Amino acid sequence: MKKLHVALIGNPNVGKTTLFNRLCGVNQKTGNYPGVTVDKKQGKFKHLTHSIEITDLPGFDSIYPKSVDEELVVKYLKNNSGKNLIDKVIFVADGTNIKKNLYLLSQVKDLGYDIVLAINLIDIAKRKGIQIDTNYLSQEFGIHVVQISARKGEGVDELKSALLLDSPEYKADDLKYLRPENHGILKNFTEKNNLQNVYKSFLSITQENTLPDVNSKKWKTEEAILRYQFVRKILDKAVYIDKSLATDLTSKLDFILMHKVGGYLIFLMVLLVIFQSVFSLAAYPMGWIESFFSWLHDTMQSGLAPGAFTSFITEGLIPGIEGVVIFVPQIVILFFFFALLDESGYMNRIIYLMDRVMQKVGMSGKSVVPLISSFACAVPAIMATRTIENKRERLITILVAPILTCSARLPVYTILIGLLLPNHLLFGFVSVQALVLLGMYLLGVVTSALAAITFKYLIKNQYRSFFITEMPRYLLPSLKNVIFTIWENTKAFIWNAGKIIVAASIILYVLGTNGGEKFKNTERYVQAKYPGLTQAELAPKISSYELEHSYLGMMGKSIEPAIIPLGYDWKIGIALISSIAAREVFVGTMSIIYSIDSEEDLSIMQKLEKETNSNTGKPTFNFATCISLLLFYAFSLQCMSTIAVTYKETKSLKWTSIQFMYMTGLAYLVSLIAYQIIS
Amino acid sequence: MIQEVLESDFDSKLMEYGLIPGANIRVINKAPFHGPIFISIGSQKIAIRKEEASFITVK
Repeated sequence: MKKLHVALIGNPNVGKTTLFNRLCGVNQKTGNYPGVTVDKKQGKFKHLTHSIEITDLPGFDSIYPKSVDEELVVKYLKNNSGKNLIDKVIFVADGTNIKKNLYLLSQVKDLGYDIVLAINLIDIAKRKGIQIDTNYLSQEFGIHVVQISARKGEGVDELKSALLLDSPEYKADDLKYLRPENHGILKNFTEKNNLQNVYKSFLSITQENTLPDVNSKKWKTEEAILRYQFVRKILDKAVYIDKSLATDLTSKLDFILMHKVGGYLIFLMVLLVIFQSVFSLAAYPMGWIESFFSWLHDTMQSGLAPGAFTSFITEGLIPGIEGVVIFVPQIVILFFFFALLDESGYMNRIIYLMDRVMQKVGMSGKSVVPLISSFACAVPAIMATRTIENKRERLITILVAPILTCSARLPVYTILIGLLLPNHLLFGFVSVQALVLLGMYLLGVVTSALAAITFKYLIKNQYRSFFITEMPRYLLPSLKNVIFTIWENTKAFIWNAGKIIVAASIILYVLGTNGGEKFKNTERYVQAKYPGLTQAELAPKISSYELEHSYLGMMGKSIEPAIIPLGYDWKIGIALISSIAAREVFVGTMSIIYSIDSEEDLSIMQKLEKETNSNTGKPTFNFATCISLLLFYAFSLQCMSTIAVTYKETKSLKWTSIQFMYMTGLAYLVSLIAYQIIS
Repeated sequence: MIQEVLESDFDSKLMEYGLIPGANIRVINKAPFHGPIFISIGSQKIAIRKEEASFITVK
């Protein structure tokens, strides 16, 4: 069976993914491109005599890249060599708006590729009264042209067969992108450098300035004009639009959704629905997950022989995995909505409405989506910043996203607010605790805006920020794509955040259950200290002593001098260190630290209330300490996964450490001031 | 109708989106607070910031 390697390319939002799924079904795998974090999707299918391997490249708008994704595609297309040699290219175009696609198509064609043009969404195009003369297009570009509807599966077999055909004869119309008087320069350059393709040498001149005498910017501008004229000439003959048939629902919807007042109100409502679902709807599956893990914990504990291994499983591994899985419901719901918004075309309207506001704080309209995800988890948020073209705007968005109140802070806030004040009702129906919680959310929003403004003045803008975005027509989202988006993003979250949370939990477990000389001889020390106690009375004293002298306890004690001014003691120090893995670990650690101190079976809240600070003798969780802790958790970057994903996305140790230090520094400073003033 | 696209860092970007001399454009909507403007060019619709739009002269 003959092999054929095909690359799937096209502008964004033309239904490339739908076609890819249609062609390969489940026969696909996702990998990574070396050095960048763009997913590499590959799939396989068989057709007649050939085994066809497909690489799905990210959508791109131009051979002159303006984002990481685009840069990747352009590089891939320019350096077509080695073992992944592309034999054919499927260029997917949007049948309802083929004009911009043909511009890109002519550029890719000039790179010397053997192309099959798949005009997608042909069913919608027909409904809109658009007719496309495929024979004419085929003749003018020297390629095979197939009309398809990837959504319905129409024309897909025809496309597969077209891949196996030789390209039609092409009347070479070279150098249509350059003024005739410059043709000589380009040809000489190409020969001198022994380049195979004239357009590649043109791009080398215009993109890398390899020919200093040439005004490369002018060449680029002229290319745009000449190419557009060329494409328009073809379009005039190839596309016929029957205006009378076109129903213009999009314009009507835009009138409402982009209205000066109404547009914002609708956006606000959409936000409310998303938040409401993320928090209240997700609470049910999160409860089930919790009960499942506590059942698993109990079963393991009673089923396995007691010992180091069992305790490692039940106290180290299971809570670690639970810490990851617990967020899956929220992530799934979040990406369900994002997929809907994106697929329907509404996302671009939000970007448009919010651009001005976001620009004031140094970001772009495109930052809105990542920032909304931040309320669930900063990890998918930071991954979602890839769509922001301008480097500075993207960096600022990454830097401030983790300040927004993610859901890992919720359990910590809930406990601390509970300790802070009793749950009064204001005016009979407003819960005071809920008000404080709302205040914490607002604090996050305001601080992130202030931080963004600060970064706006600190970071020099290398590239001029510009903003041009296409407004796609509204479409009914396809269920298959929605599910696919959810699946891809959830998988990425579990993998990216999961491995770190699990690893950190295990390390912390090991640190907490091992120690030096005093730890090993705990029993002797405790017996000597409390002579005359029964074995049962000694047990809690022993565990407490063990924790205090474990490596983790030593770490907690060693940072104590630094955190005393904030109103904490070494036990809180242990919790702070443990929650570097993930913030919600705070709650678990606190319950472990204090469960070993108390003989009665109290709820964690009651345990914490009874606790006295070993330095001051006053209750540990007094008003000032609770406020100080709340503020600390609001600002500090206690999340290994965020740190890891920031590094992965920025590829810069500098910005990763700046993010960690400014957040943790801010947390320390604010908590210090708050504690010193209040206490 | 677009008369001229003034030279800038992003002029080729503008042209790739079809904003070339001779093209007919229509402003459909303006975002508040001097936000981006929403224009239609041929059958496609695009959003562009005012700063960039100021490089386009029309008649």
